[in-house]
Amino acid sequence: MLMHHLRVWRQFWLVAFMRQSAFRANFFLSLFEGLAQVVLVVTTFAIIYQYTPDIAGWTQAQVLIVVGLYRIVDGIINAQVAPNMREIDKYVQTGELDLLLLRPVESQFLVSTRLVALPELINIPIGLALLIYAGLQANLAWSISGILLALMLLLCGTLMIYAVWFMMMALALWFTWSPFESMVGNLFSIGRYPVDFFQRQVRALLTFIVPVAFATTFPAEALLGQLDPLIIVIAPIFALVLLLLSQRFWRWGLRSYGSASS
Amino acid sequence: MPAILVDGLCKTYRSFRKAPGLMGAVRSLIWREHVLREAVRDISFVIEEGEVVGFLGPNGAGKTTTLKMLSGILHPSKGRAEVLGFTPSQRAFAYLRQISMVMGQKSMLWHEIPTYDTLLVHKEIYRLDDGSFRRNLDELVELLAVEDLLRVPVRNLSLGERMKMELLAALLHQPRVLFLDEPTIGLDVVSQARLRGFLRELNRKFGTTIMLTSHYMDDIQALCQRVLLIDHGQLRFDGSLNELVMQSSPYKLLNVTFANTPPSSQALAMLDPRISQRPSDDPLRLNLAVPRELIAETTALLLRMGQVADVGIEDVPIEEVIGALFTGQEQIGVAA
Repeated sequence: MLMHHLRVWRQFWLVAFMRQSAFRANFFLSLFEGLAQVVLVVTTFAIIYQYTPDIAGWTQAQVLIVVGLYRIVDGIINAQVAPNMREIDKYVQTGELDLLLLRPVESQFLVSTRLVALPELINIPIGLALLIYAGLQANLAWSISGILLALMLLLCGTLMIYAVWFMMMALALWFTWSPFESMVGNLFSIGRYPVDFFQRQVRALLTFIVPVAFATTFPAEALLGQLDPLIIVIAPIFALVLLLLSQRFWRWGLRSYGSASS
Repeated sequence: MPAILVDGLCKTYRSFRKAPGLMGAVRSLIWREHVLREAVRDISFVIEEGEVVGFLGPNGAGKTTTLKMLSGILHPSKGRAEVLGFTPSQRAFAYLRQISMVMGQKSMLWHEIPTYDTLLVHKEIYRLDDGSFRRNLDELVELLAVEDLLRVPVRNLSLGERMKMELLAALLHQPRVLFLDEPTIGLDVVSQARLRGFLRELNRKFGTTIMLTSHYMDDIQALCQRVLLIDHGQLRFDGSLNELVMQSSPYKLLNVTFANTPPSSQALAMLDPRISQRPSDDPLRLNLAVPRELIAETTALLLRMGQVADVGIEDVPIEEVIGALFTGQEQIGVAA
């Protein structure tokens, strides 16, 4: 069952490779955009940190670790999550969902994985380079446990963002469009800053409603050895709960789609 | 066990009516008026494995809705549907692997890449091993004669070629039941005929049960031993095309062309009053709608009325029979 789905997923990536060859320009566009974003944020912080040694307890090098992690997660989300989320309401509007529901594969899996924007993956090496540079500046210890922990948190955070975004898009099953189509994607862009930069209420929003903090701030803290141990327990549980919730929500929506749509 | 069993199937759509304009939009956020539309009302039929059944009806009659319920996309509001022993709406993978549906207006192919690459995705989705993938593909490619199109990006194919590829993708996993919704829509006459030939061959060779809707009577005549007629969500007829014509049109068309002068109207007034005259663009040609039981004597009578150059006796065209049925006309032979 799981293997079956993984094989289908692999095939989607192969298709993405084949489609991509037709649009090589996209690759350079993504490379340029990723680099430009990094340069912009890095210069902004370079200017700000001329006047202050730290913001909310974060030094310049530490903030750049968050920026680097953000680039990595942004690459994953823009490559695999966003292209699919943006199509879900269109599947409902055009009736293409009908054809997808005919396939002997979990429909949530199908609508969440079938499209891959490969050029966006270039953000991962860009983010990694910045992360390593900032880590060296911050005299990071690079402990194996810290790195594994950061990876785990990053994965959980990405899954949480996916689950929330997916539920927002699943609203289209009832209303044929989703009022929150780009909300999650836009809110995620705040993830390039440590959540401590914001007021308490906003911080809570970024941790539990749109769980951006789990994808960038917490992994950075794990690398810096400053992570609240409670987060290590909360992250996987919260990710699992959100995923199960999204599954329930989708099935509920499909029942409504099956009984109301025309 | 029949391939398809439908018992008292109903489907009621619930939609929302919105008053026009901005205020209407605002009001609809708070309170929405429900509108119920009965798309399918109490339909029952049984289809045996290997049958090819035509599903006829005007637009909005409930054909597509019924097919969508049978393929598991829509849930019935009431009644029971069973296909290959499964309840379609549960969408069990074991069920979905054995059926397929082609909708003439929707594409399941990726347009930027060749069909072959889409088929590789289907191979994984339907869990085909290399051997059966190759075998099924070779068979279908030969039947459809599309060997050289397999590696062409779909967007570079003509409409007819694309339809063949849609069928290829839909049949790769060798479904036992195939639902076709307007498969020949928009195709030219030659492509239509080819597609029909292919479907006939598919049914003969693999015993695939086929249920198809079409606006083209030629499709139905060429393929279907049996037709289901649906109108306003209700089943109006279930039987062979011949029975349909016999039952709904008790008339035959008698066309007589006279060599020089047609019979006078007084002479024609002697004919049975149940016989009616249909328009003719040739003054020498007489077109009559004649009750079946009067055909022989009427023909004999007319032959004595003048010098006859040609006689033709035909059934009322099937389009006309069905068109009349849907518009609720009783006397089909009379309508022209």
